[in-house]
Amino acid sequence: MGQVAIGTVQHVEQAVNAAHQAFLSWRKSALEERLDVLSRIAKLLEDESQSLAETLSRENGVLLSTSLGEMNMAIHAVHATIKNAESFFNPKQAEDETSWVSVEKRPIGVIAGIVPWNAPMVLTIQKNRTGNRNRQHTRHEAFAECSDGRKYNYEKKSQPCSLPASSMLFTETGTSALP
Amino acid sequence: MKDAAESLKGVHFELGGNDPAIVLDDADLDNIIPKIMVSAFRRSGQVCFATKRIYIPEKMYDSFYTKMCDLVDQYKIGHGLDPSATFAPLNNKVQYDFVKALVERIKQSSAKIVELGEKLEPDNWDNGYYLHPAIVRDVEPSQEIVTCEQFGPIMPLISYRSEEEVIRWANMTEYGLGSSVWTADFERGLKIAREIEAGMTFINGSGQSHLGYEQMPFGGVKQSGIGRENSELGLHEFIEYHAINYHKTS
Repeated sequence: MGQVAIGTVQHVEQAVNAAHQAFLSWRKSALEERLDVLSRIAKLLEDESQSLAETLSRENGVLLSTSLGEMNMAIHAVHATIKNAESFFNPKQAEDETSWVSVEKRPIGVIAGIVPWNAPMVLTIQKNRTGNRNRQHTRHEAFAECSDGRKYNYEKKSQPCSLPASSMLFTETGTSALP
Repeated sequence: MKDAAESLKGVHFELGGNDPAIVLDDADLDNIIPKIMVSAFRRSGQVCFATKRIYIPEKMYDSFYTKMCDLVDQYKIGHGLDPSATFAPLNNKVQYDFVKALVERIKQSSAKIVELGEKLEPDNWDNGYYLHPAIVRDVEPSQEIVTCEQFGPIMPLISYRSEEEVIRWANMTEYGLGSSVWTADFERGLKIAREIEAGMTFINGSGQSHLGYEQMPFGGVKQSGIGRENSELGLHEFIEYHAINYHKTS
């Protein structure tokens, strides 16, 4: 059906370091620049929707119509982010005769996300778009299947977001129905 | 979470659910059953906020069961890329084995389980993690199939007698992700919705509408998680605030 490389702790460290390097310049980029990147992501997802949906169905076993629906949701998530970015982006400010206050938003930096096996595309995008929209943070995503397979066991047992990279491992992605 | 504590890292969890669908006695069954089925059987039930148990008023129970069985039996079970398939297999062996064992335990209980749907390729049945969609009736409110997260296509139908009873049962779970209420009366549905311990409640629909997908914070309470995805609230999970205060000279 396909082959997936199994990553090591070192691979994760490298990925996190690369993400952090990218973050240093990304955090200084203008909103317009970020929205442009988001628009390009949306376009790429649209262009590749059919083939990505087929891959999702091969990996997950789900109906192609379900995978196409998942692609549409992912694209919609990116567009919704573009639409609402500016209002979120602006700092909240107040002023009186003696002072001025600005409450600004800063990204928290590289984030580790562990995405369940059932809907990897839309769940990844829902997190990634956040990173892009929050001006500065980049996100590193791991596609992993739990050692024991079950979703909630997996999530309870697995490492949460924002952990040191060394505690995460890539494993094989899900396998399901055979053709 | 323990690992994150040492360096004060924030965590965000979107975990499992055991979402109840509460059917009220004014609901139009022919209208709502196909919609509930979308939520119950999409991805063969492998969705965190899939409907995982259905509560039906006692007087409508048999009618609901018969109508739902008729519709579920129309599923054509086959490969995900087969255009004639309307129902696909489970994702992986561990999940498949878990759900199969759950079915066996239901068969040992006093509940009645019916396995439905048509095999598109009977000869190829063992060449994938295929399971029949199944409906479980005459189930106890505290039985495993009701209280666990099955994450598979096995749907328990529970009969209830009063709103007070169904709200109590709906909340009698360690989970609190999604939930749904089905009714012809929005005000009544809203009142029930507000009594449910959950991060999200859908009235007369399976999952978010287009607007809901943009506006609703996605996530749950109790053991279903910490924090939210989606909407503006979801973005707050990934930022810190930096407040700047300028003192004007006078």
